[in-house]
Amino acid sequence: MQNFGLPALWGGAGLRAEHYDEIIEKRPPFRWFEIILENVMGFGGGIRERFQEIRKHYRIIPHGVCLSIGSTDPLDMEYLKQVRRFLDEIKAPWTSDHLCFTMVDHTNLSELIPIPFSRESANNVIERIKIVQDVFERPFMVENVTRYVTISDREMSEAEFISTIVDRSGCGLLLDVTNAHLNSLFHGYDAREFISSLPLDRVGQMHLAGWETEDGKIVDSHDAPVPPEVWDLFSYVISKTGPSSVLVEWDNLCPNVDRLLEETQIADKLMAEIAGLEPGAPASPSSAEKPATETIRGAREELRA
Amino acid sequence: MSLADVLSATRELIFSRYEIPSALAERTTFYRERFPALTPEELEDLAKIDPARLRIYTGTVYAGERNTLRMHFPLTFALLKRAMGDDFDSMELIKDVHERYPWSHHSTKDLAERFARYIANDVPRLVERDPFLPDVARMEVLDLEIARAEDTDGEAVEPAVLGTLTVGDLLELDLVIPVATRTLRASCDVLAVRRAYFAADNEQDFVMPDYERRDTFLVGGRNAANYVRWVEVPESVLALFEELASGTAPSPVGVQLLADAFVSSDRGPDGGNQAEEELFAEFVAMLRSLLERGLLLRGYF
Repeated sequence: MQNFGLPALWGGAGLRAEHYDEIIEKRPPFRWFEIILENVMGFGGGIRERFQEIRKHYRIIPHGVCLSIGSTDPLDMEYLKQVRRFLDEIKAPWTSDHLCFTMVDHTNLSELIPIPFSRESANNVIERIKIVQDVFERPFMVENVTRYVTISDREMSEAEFISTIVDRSGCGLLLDVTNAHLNSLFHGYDAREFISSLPLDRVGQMHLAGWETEDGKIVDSHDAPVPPEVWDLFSYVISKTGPSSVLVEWDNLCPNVDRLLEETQIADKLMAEIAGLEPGAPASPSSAEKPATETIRGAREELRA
Repeated sequence: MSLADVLSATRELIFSRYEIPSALAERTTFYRERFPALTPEELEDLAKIDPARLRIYTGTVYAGERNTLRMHFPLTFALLKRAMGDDFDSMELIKDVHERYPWSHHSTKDLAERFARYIANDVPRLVERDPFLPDVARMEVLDLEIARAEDTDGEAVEPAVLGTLTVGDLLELDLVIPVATRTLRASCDVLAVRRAYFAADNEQDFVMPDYERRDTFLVGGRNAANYVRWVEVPESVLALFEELASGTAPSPVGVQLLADAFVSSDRGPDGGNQAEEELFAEFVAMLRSLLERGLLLRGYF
């Protein structure tokens, strides 16, 4: 299996409210957009009107932030049903959320807080993912989060934890390459080794982003261009997986649409070079076997120039 | 060993205001006393976490809540800043809100409701100085609800149509109150405060109007361009909207019913002596305002 059995949509961008009007007006050539479910689902008015207009022209892939799959609070079944209705409405081929908790003791932390890498925690997540998959009835992926801390890794590493969950729940992995890179800085490990130990055949989507450094501290703020070290790591991942659906993510200080499009085209160009395909072409299983060589650097330098 | 206890302890540490010991041994002892349900292994793991790194989450959680609230409560924040001057610290404010009314649902509406409750109940000295603060906060909660409410399957009625109808035809007209419609009882002229705020080029230029301390009855909704709009109505008309508007489904309302409510209202010292024609003209003007602002539609039932 490649790309979790899903079509590779190539480079895409996060659809944010500040871009709605420009996208409707200019209809820029994005292949697809990812939306944050909770920013659109159940809304009427101007947001819905503009979202529906964009949906006529672009493929939309939803992504959630409120599932709190790692929590011990009961799953919010009303929320799950609402998501299901929305997924049906927009004919979403798959969806995803984060491998973390956002609520506990019925308190919303509104932040992606890491969970312990323990057997108990893995079992908890697996059982909850099974329920989620039963409700959604479509492929579901969990995303590796940025971790400023490790709550516990005495029983297993993060890669083992993710592999266990993916294997036993049947879900896919949304690989956030930036998060893998940042975690390797925070916790002192080799990002390539980490990525190599993941079940890469289950990676059905990827995220790329930049970040800010405040007073010497890195904050995963999604408010800067994807930096060269992340493009490097991304090239390494693509050399192992082949093309995927790759989102360039901005949540703050969003650039204009042209700049956003440019970043998705860098992702396309890199994937095409590595896989030996035209950007946007359906990926063949053999394309994943092409090694990342000097062509990666060549493509990147060409784009930078 | 319980995952729930570990997650609870993590949450407490992120929100705690107490000093977490910097030395590992002290921290372990401190956590042991603080979290008696945790096993020695869980305590050891938790103690290994650098408190400064946990505080990154404290910062991002509170900053996220503050940014969300500031976006949805621009006027309330401006008034707080004006009332508190240099003492205004938005992060401290948010911490206080969070401690008194923890955000217990993933929806922004839940956070907004809790913030408005905090303004109404927990800042008495500020409210004494600015009595309109709770009303403004409440209005901004309703703005959020109106902006996001589900659409209503209905057709806007051109106000000009009213002039083409006979009195009888007008009174027989059946309309609907859209899902987005909300009601507000305020104790001062919040619309005047709001108008002054949005008329200013920037926050520094905002001059508080000489507001009138009087009961104000408002109906809000979404116009055809999806902008939030409010209309002041007599109390009896507001009561009818309160009775009929569900906020979850469109509600039918006949113009006759609205007219009856309008006529029954107490419209001041001269209200009872108005000529019938004058009274009818006032009613039509109110109806026109409600239609122009999308607070009433022609619905499909």
